[in-house]
Amino acid sequence: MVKIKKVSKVLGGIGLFIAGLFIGSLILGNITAQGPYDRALEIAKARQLNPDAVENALKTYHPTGVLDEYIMFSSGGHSGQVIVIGIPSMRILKYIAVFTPEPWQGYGFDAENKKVLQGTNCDPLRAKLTWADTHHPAISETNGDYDGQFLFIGDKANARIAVIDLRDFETKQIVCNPLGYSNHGAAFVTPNSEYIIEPSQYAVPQGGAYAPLSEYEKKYRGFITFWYFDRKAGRIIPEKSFAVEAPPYWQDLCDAGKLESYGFAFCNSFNSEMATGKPLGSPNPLFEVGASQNDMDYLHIVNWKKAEEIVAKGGAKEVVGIGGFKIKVIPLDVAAKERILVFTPEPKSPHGVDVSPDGKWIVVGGKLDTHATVYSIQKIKDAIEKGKFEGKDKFGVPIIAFKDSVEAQVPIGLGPLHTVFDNKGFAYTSVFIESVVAKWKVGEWKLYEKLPVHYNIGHIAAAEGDTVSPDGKWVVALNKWAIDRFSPVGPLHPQNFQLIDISGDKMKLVYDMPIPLGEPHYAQIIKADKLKPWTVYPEVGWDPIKQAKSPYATALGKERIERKGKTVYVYATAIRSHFTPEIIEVEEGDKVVMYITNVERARDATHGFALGGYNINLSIEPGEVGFVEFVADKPGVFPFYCSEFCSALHLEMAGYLIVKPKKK
Amino acid sequence: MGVLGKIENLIPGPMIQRNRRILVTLFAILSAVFILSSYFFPYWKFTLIAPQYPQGLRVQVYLSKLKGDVSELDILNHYIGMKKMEEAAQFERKIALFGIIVLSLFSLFFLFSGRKGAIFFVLPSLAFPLIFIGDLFFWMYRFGHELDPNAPIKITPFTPKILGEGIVAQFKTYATFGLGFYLAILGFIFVFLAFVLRIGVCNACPVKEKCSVFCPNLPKWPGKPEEFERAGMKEKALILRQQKVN
Repeated sequence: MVKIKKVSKVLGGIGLFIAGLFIGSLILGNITAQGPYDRALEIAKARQLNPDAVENALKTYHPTGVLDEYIMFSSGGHSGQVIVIGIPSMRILKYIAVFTPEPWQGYGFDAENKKVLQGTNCDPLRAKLTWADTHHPAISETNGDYDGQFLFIGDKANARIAVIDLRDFETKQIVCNPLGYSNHGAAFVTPNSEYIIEPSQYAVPQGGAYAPLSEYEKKYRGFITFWYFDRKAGRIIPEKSFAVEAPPYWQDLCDAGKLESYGFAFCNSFNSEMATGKPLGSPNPLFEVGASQNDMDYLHIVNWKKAEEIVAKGGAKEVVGIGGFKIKVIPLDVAAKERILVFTPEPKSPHGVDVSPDGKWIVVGGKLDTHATVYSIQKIKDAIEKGKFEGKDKFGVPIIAFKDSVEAQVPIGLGPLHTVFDNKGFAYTSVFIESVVAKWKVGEWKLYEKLPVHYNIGHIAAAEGDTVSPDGKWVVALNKWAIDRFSPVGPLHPQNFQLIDISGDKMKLVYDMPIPLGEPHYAQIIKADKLKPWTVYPEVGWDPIKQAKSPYATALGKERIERKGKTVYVYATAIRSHFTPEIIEVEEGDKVVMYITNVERARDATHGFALGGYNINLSIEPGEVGFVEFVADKPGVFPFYCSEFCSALHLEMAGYLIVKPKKK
Repeated sequence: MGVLGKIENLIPGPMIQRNRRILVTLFAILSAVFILSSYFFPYWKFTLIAPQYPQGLRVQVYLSKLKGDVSELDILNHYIGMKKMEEAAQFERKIALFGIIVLSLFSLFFLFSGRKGAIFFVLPSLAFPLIFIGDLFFWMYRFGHELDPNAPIKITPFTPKILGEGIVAQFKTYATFGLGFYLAILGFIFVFLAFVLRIGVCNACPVKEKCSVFCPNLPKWPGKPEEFERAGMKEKALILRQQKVN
């Protein structure tokens, strides 16, 4: 027995020794041998990339065919579009045409989406618009979480809201606000996308009427509109929507309450001074001065659930607004009496108002303040319930005292704007004047870290960072100025999106992405697998506006030209590499209506239809029916061709529109 | 009494070759099931591999229909002037369902067939897969040879491969038989096995001319000689008659 133990000890010892040798040789071998990563190190050294930079590069690089984990929808600013960006690679995937004609997508050229661009309820002035200042995209939500079905975005310049269907990433509807010409805090959705919130910005006489500035207090009004969204139809229904009349302060951003604050919406305001500007030669202060006199402005607390009840009971009046379009409005006195609209003071000239994931806290950033001011929904609810108000404003709206609603003021730096959240209880606030992202803890109300960004950060977005369940991982700083970050391209600089890794203890700036298309405002980042877009339309003969099979779908072999009086109907097909019919003869003055069905089923087999001289270019995606309508009033022979490089015989995919001159 | 015993009760006739007769019946039914179900699975599959089709283009050929990326392949084929796939084997596809039902019924009819007729119910299921291959080849030949002379791309006529790897222009193709084809083969194998097994049953059946898997009831011994005569057992009848006389 003893012998065996001894022997086994000796053997074990030898075994350990050999194992040690083996491991040692492995380590030595790795150091000395020409390893596969040596070349990478050489490149890093040659480019003078420090280990941090190498690490950052590795976080964002995607080999070909590897897809991003997140998708960011960013406003395209004045381009009137939405930019779709992969995160973390920061690759631009698409510009979605929304308010601006866009030839590649055939948007504004196809007879059907031309109508979308004109709007559902737009007055003649706004029906003709060809641009917008898109501000805040909002992905549709279910139970306060992104569901990836729809995207909404507001146009600040013209008080419009657009609906984008995320099955095909195309704009389906534009609505105009009949109450005014500008918004800012749009679009924001309630937790089940019951409503899309659109507050006004610059107060005007309600309904687009005329009133001199001397009647500002009496006649000018703001509004907070709740657009009813019919998810099944995929459309806003103006008839089921309503607005809450607001004093002529300039309302700013909003956010919808969720979970504990469900049923409420919160909107900032400034110019509670009701400054009316400085006419030339007048001693009145400029807006920038006049609207910054009070130390406090008013956070608007809107109980939209209650508002819904009042509207159902007939408590709203019907206002005939701009262009004769009607909307239900809850008058200011009713809103005040029913506590649908309640105020609480907020540090002056605020910008963003953001509700925490649990719905308990409302964070306000005051542009000229150094704090993130945090309100408690519990305190607000208590005050409203007990009728504990410190007074009323000039219009009779009850005001909850600051001390009765505020929970904390977190000192984070000068010029806080917007706040997003992660999954570890941290909040990230963009701080404009200091050009930093401030990371602070919810509940602890303590600043943890500041990360400089380049430069003048406006909005900030985090992975699902404004939902009930943020993902953490990534934050994107949406910087207004790039200054020296990119190669100069003339005096107009791109904006700078900076990707920040927030997965570790410290924030790390990872990547700079230039945005050369308008000045984006807000962006939202959704987990890519929540989006289920079509890769081709579900059926051949699809009408993307109705999202159903089109009655004008044409099958191969059924192509035809029909004349009814002075109108020529062309039922055509497009397939690699020909249009049928490819010779179309009409007479001068005929109206030409063409339905072109792309009968392809292959991914990416899009055909264009470009008709010279007539300002027509369609994008007819696999399965889609393209629709053109024009009057052939110029006699001649007009070539048309497929403007997407579809196949080897792409150039041969062409035809002639022959417009015969009128007989005299 | 076990399960086998219960099944056995369902089969009329004497207890000769009990297990074998059960097997023969089961095999014939399985054969019919395999043949019938083959209709619902592709008989032949074809994959075209090209850079712009990362997943490949796949077509499944059923007895009565084509499935998969047919329209995309048609688009590619039209450049070389090939006909649309839907135009192939239209008559065959029309009668396919009827044919497959008849074929599977044959496997059942076989059970009742006599000693001599049996093979005529077995041979069609052997012939069927061969006919399929022949017909496929025929259409492949026609499609590869009857090319539109005015097509944008002119190529020398060819017969696409019906099995294994082939190359058309720069495209690689890969063709295999599908589950349906193998089910049809299984259908033949099972009815053939039943046929072979049944020879033994027939040999054991006293009524040799009338052999089917259900060989006629044997009269009980000793019984009336007429019954034995009717069953074709003349010797036994003779013995009984002689006994009576004695």
